[in-house]
Amino acid sequence: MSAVLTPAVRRPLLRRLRPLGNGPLFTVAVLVLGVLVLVAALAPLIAPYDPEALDLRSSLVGSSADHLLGTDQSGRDVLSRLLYGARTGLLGPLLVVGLSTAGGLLLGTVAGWRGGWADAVLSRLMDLVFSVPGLLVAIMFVAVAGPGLTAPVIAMAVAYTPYVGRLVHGLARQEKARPYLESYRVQGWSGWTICVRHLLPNIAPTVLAQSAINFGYALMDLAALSFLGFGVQPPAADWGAMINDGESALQQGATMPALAPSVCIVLAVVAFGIVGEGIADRLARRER
Amino acid sequence: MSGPTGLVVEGLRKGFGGRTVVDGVSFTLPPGGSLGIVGESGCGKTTTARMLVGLERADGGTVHLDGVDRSMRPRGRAGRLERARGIQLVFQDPYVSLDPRIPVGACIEEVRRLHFPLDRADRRHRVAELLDQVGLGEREAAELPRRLSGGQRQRVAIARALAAEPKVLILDEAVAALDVSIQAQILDLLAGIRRASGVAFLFVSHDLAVVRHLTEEVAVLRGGRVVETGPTVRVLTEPQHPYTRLLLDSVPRRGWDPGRIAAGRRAPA
Ligand SMILES: Nc1ncnc2c1ncn2[C@@H]1O[C@H](COP(=O)(O)OP(=O)(O)O)[C@@H](O)[C@H]1O
Ligand SMILES: [Mg+2]
Repeated sequence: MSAVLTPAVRRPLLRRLRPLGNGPLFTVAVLVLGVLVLVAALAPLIAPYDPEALDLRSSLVGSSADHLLGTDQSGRDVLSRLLYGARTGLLGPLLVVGLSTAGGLLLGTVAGWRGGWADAVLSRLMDLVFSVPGLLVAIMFVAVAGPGLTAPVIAMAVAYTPYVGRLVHGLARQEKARPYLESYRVQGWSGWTICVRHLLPNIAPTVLAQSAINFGYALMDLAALSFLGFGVQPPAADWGAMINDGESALQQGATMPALAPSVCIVLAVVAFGIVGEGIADRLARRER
Repeated sequence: MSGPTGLVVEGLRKGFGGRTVVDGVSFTLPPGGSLGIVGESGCGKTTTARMLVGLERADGGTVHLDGVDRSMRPRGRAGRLERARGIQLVFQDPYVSLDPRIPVGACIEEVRRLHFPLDRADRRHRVAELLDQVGLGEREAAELPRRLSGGQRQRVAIARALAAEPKVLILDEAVAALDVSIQAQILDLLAGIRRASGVAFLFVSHDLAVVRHLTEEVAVLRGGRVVETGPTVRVLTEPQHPYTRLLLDSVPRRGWDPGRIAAGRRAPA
C-alpha cells in the first residue's frame, strides 16, 4: 500500500504557482503579461497622444522623438494606438475566457457528475458546437448584430465553451470516483454543494491552465475578426484593426503601422500559451 | 412492529458489464449488533458495502434499516440526511478518503453542521469529544490530513463517520492499509467505541483474525454469495463449509501448510 497522493493537490493558489518561476521562459512570459496588463490599465496616463486624433498633415511620419513608432496614414500616433489597443486586446479575450470558463464549468460538471442521459445530451451538444468553426459563427453573429466587440465576444465564448467543458467533464468524472468526494456523498451532502464547495476548488488549477491558453487563442481570433472588419471598428484603437489599416501604409513603404500591432499580438499569444502550458506541466508533474 | 429490526439485507445483486459480482447476498444485523463479512479479495465485499450506503445502485434485492426501505434513491434534503444517519462508511484507505484541502477538525465539524444544525453552541465541544473518542487532540484537529500518519487519518475517518451518529457503521477493510502494530490499536479503539456507543458494526475484511476481534456474527462471502453465516466463534472453530475451512487454513499459524492449502484451493472450484 503506497501513500497515494491525490492528483489535485490543494495548496493556496499563489504558493502553488510560485515554483513555476523556475523556467526563465515562464518568467519572461509572466513579465510580458504583467507589462501588458499595466499598459492596458495606464494607457490614458502613458500614451503621448490621443489615439484617435487625426492629423493628416503628419501622415506616415517615420519614427522620431515626437512619434516613437511614427504615425499611420491618418497621422495618428502608432505608439498611442498600440497602448490603447492593449485595452480591447485584453478586454475581449477576458470576456471570452470568463464566459466560456463559466459555461464550460457548468456544462462539464453537470455532465461529468450526473452521468446518464444528462451526460449524453450535454456531451453531444458540446461535440456539435465543437465541430462548427468559431470564426464562422462569429461572422454570422456580426451579420445579424453588427460589428463591434459584443457579437464576436459572444460567438467566441460559445465556440470556446466546449474546450473547457470537455476538460471539466473528464476531471469531474475522475474526481467523483475518489473516496474523499464519495465520503461527502455518504455524509448526505447534496451533489450541488459537493460540486461547488469541494469539486470545483480541486479542479480549478487545471481549468485555470486551460483558460490561460484559451486567452491567447481568443486574443488571436478576435484580432483576426477585427482585421477582417467584423470586430472593433476604426477609428477605435484595436490591434487587429490597426493591421488592416496598416496594409495601405505597407504599400507606401511604411511597415511600422502594421508591424507593431502584429508583434504585440504574437507576443501576447505566445506569452499566454507559455504561462498556460507552464501551469499545466507543473500540475501534470505533481500528479505523478 | 415491535421495536427496531436493524439492518436486513435480502437478495442483494450487482453486476458490472454482465459479470455478476454480488449474487443474492442476504444477512441481518440487529440494532447495536456486530457482523463480520469475510472473504477473499474480489468476492464482492466492497461492492456490497457501497450498495448499502448508496454509492452503488443495486441491480436487485432489498435493504431495510429498522423497517425503512433503502433501495430507492432518497428525494430531497431530509431524505438524504435521514439516509446518511442510517449508515455511515469508513473507507479502506485513509490516504485518499479525507479531503486534502480541509483541516481534519473542520471536516468533522462540517458533518455536525450538516446533521445537527441546531446545536451550534456546543458544536466545538462535540467535535472535541468525537476526536477525543478516537484518541486525537486539538493539535491534530488543526492539521491537514497530509500532516498526519495513516493511523491518525483512519482515526479521523472513524470520528467523521461517527459524527453523523449513524445506526450502522460499516468498516470496509478499515485497517488493511495500516501497519500491523497500528492495526491492533485501531481494532482496540473500535472495540471500545462499540461498547460505549451502541452503534451496530458491519465489519468487512479479508482477514479472519481481525473479524474474530470485533464481531459476534460472521458471514462468509465467496464469489458474491454468502456460503456460511453464524456466530463468529462457532464459524471460526467449527466451520461447516469447505471454503470457510480453507480461509481458516490460510491464516498463518503453528502447523500451517501452504502446500495443502494450495491443493485444497484448487479442489472445490
Ligand atoms: N465499478 C466497477 N466496475 C467494474 N468492476 C468492478 C467495479 N467495482 C468492483 N468491480 C469488480 O467486482 C469484483 C468485486 O470487487 P469488490 O467488491 O471490490 O471485492 P472485495 O471488496 O471483496 O475485494 C472485483 O472483481 C472487481 O474487479
Ligand atoms: Mg474491498
